[in-house]
Amino acid sequence: MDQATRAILEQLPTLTHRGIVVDSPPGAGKSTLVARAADALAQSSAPCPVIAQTNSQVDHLVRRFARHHPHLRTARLTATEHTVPHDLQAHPGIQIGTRIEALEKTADVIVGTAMKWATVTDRRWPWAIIDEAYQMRSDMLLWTAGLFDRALFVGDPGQLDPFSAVETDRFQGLFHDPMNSAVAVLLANNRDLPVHSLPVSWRLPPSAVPLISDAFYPFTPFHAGSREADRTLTFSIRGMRTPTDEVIEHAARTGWALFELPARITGPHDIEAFQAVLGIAERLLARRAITTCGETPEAHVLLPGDVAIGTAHRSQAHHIRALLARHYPQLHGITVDTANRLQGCEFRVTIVLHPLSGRGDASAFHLEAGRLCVLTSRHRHACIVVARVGIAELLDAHPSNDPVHPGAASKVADGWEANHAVLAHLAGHTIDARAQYGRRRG
Amino acid sequence: MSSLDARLGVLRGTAPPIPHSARTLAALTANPTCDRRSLIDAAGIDKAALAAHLNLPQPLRKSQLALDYGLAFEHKVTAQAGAPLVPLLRQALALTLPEASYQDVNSVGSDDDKSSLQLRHAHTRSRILSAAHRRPSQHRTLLDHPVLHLTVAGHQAYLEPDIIAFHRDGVFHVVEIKSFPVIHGQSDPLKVDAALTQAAAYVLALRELLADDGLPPERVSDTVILVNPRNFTQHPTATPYKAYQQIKSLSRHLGRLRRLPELLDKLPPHTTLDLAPGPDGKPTRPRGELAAALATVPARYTPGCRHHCDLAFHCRTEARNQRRTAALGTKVRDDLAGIDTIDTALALTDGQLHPARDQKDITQALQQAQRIYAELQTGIA
Amino acid sequence: MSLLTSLLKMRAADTGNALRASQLRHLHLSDQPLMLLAMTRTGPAARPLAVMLGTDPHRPQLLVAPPSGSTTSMLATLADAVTAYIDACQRHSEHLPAINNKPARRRYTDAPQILVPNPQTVQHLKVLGDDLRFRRVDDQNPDSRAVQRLGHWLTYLTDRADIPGSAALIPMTSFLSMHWVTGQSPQEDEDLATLLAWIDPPRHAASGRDAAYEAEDPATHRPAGPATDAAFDNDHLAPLFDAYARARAQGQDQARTLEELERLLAAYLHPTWDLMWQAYTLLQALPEAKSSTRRWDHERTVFTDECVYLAQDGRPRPARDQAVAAAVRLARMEHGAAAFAAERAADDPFARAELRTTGEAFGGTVTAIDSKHTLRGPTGRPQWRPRFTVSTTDLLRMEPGQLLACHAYRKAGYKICEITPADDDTLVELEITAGMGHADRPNYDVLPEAGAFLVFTIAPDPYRMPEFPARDQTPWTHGGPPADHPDHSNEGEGEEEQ
Repeated sequence: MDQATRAILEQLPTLTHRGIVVDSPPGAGKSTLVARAADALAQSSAPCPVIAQTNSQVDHLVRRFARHHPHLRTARLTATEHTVPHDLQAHPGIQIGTRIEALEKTADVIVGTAMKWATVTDRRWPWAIIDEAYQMRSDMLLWTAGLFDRALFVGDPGQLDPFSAVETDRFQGLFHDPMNSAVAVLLANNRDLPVHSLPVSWRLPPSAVPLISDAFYPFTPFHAGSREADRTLTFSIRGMRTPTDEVIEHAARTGWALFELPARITGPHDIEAFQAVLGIAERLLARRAITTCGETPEAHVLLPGDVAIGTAHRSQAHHIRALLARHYPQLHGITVDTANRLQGCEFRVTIVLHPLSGRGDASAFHLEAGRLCVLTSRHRHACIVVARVGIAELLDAHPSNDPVHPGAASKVADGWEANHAVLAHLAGHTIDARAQYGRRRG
Repeated sequence: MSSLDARLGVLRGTAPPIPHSARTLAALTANPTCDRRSLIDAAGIDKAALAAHLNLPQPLRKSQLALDYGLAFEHKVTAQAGAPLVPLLRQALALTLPEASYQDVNSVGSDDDKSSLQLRHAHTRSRILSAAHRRPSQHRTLLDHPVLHLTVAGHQAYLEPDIIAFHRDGVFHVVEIKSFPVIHGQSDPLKVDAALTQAAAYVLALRELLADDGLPPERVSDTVILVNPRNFTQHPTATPYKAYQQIKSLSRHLGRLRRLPELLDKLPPHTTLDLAPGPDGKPTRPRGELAAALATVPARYTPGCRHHCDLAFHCRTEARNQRRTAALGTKVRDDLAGIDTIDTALALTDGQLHPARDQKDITQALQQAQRIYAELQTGIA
Repeated sequence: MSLLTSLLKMRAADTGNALRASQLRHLHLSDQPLMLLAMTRTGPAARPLAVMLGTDPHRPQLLVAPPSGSTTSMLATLADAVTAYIDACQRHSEHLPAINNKPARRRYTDAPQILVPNPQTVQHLKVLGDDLRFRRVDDQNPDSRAVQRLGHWLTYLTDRADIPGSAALIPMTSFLSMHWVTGQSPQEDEDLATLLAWIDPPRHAASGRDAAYEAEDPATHRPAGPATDAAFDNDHLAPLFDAYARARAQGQDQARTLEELERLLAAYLHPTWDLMWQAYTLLQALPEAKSSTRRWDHERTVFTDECVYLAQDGRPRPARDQAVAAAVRLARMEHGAAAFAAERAADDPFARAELRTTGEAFGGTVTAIDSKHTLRGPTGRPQWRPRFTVSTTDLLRMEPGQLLACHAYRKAGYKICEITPADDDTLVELEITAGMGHADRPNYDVLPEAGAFLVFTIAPDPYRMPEFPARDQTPWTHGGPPADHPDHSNEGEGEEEQ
């Protein structure tokens, strides 16, 4: 636990404001803070509700409570449609229930999704913790805010903004725009609330922090908690001098690599790129990658569960998973998902299909800073980006006549600029997918 | 005259150049990769005249009623030496601006005088620099009808912002008066963007002016004030906007204009878009010849072009004749992933064309769509 | 839009004729819709220039606002016409018995349906409603009440138009584009004249493409509003306005100028008026989709509620939504969109075909059925979960665990158990998870027959409307309860100033 976390925890019991916001960049110890705060706030007379945004986030938190805070009686409030993972079902210290009545009398901490908490009525507790509060749409906060007197809001301001499938322009400019994040609306209506930020990323390696901080967190910069020497990624099997070998070796050395495929407009379903992504994952595992890390200095052999493949579109993730299931049985256990669903997750190595790869033009969706931020900030050791040549030209060609609404300035970095920053950084880490070994571009 | 100027002059022909304005600069950001537009604007060619000679519809023609209304609103706002403006700016910038000296740069030189732009620019420049150099506590200035310079592809473009406000924190603000309304706090977001992109040109010009005199460009704020009619009245209201994005993207697109020589190199020698006006001033250039000359400069047509380019209908006809997918909209163009023409796409779909290696994925998807549609037609699905 | 639509767009561009997308009409179409064209004055916000409206194609009513001075009398006439139409929908009502926790109630058997040319007209009416509903009511002047009431209805109708699947106020270009695909871009489809030329070309035209080209001719083309084009402004309106102002200044009779203006606008609007009825006839000929009845029933419920609100409270809706109202509105819009999409997929083979090309559905033939399959439930009791296999040649972008719906058995639910790629096709093993009843009282109807061709779509997420807090319970996070009365942002700034 770092200084900043300790200072926030000390403040909680005597807080005179009704809320407190903690901005937490990737891997800055958000879960630790949430768990400690819940421990501190759970009182004998009243449980502390914890409101997260997705079922997997809730399951993750519950698991953490059970492991690190075994003295707390933890309850999992769940919807009937969701199947709670077996390890949690089997855990003796965890109560699982679909109705609040079954849990509120006996639990210290009750964890559930905002969607589920919105169905709870006629209750009010002294404190609540809202996790991933920047992912939470403010209307969800409206449905749940009656449940607590005070609340701790924790979240990552660099992630994806909430979205809706319907036209929401009419709400623009409202202090309570239901499309804004819970934190944005909370602060617009309560300008005096204290806002803290956690200044250290314990997840991201020193190779990643300056870029991610500058490109995506211009308003809440942070630094790395680990030293360069703390994080290593090596291979116990020698490579075959293919571009794929080169790309993973480069990433192992520097923390970054861009695997560059020849320019081509492919649309979202670029089979060649999908195969490149899977090929990289395969080589990583086939060469028995070994990681060490300051906290656990003993060597760890990289397993499928340590690797994630990130995409922009769901259909891309589906496609890659289908290819994986069919042709790469040895990769079973790798996470393949969209930026949306990878929010809040952590892996040792990530392989990212660049959102702009193979596109004919950029669009607001593909340019969104949060999307690229999520994809490039999930890793502890290395991030390998796969992209087709031509993204810089795509960015230049992007018309910049987006609609403007008053008061729309946000905490989030500008996507166009952030994309350029990441691209400029990757230029020094580019491996040409067709090149002979040892002839690195850039 | 530089060789670039000479080459652009050949492209333009006999007509005098039309200088860049904030409006044409703003259009740069709407379709930045259209080389045709970049070259024609850089050469100062009258696009409306080209369009008229080619018998094209003129979607950008200005309505006299709109102009009159805009002018009436502007007069209302700047009446009595800017009196209605001061309290609005005070509120929009949250500052104490008890009174302001108001200077109408228009009064320098007469409106018809050819040299008045240069004169007004000199006047603007001296006013701005003297305000900027004096002790910051004394001055609040509203400069009406100022004239600024901006270097665009090596040329001086004169720009005429509505108002420049200077206040005692030593910061300049660009103020734009626009006649579209703010209704219950909301405006047409596309009109706002267009206004801010124009304002971005003024901000850049003002920064250039300060920098030339060794002053820090940050003295020009990226907060721009739009003054609009409020609700259903002609009462003005002022709204501050962060124009950071527009400023950044415009300056980036201006930087790209350095590619002009490269674009000119691609043209056949002696290519010109001259209308060859006869003694009566009427164009005599054969239309076919003009269209052929235009065709040597590649365009990037999208259906959205009609909102900002006089030549949109010409480029549309061209795109349709070439059966380009882009003429059907960005969605179709996106869906077809790099297949440029309808003929290729349909031939691949119908199996009349063997897909190249990099067309296999899209061909498979198109053929599946075709199969599903056929099932639908025969009532299987 | 899907790859299928893109393909059809290319086919249409290739042949020069529009293609039918959906065979079904997804919005209820009234026997007597109120057709309404609105033109706005260039310049001032929401100042009307003219309105043409009516329920009879042969007898449109034309209302023209004077070039300067008050528009109240013109608006009052408009208000009378619109209100008379709306009142007529309240003539009959039906009894709805109590269900669940809702008490028995009455509902009007009809609801207003207003057809306008395009989304821009909807936007114009919204702004007009924002103006008029805050106008002060002057008891001395009966017109003022009518005008305020018109503002109220315009706000109601334009709010409804934001809800996907609502049929209270429909822009014709969007309505047509739901059912036909043309060979021009979506931007060009926003023009009623060219869109209709593609879909239903005049007899003399060789193709829809030729007809559209002809319809674009600046000499004859009339924009469907609400904005007038610059040429019309400069060449026709401006001179008349000048003449009107001169006559006014010199104290002369303005009646002749007004008559001329009326003639001018009648001629300007008539072509669009005829196109609207042409479009109406085309749409009316389409068979109505099954679920559109449910949506129209809902439309009538909402309309009845609004009438009750007007009778009991009647205060104008606030200019901008308060916190709770905004969240409720967003929930309704999202719920409406999801329900409309799900119902279209269930009703319409074309909608399903589109989903198949986007990977949100697949179609195939039932090859094997395991009707006896059971699972052990959480309590240990066996549960009947029949399974069957579907062979599909669609590109499958789904995974085991995916929940599905099927148009043929609307109450059933399915889950993908296993996907086995074969040489030419893919075998998908499905389990029926809902709608099959219990093992002791099974519902065999949900079991498909071997050889049947079925399309399975991704099941819509289960959605529960959250319990909305009352306005005076707005939590502190959202600024607490708002001030008591909706704000009158107009502050009596009268229209007369313009």
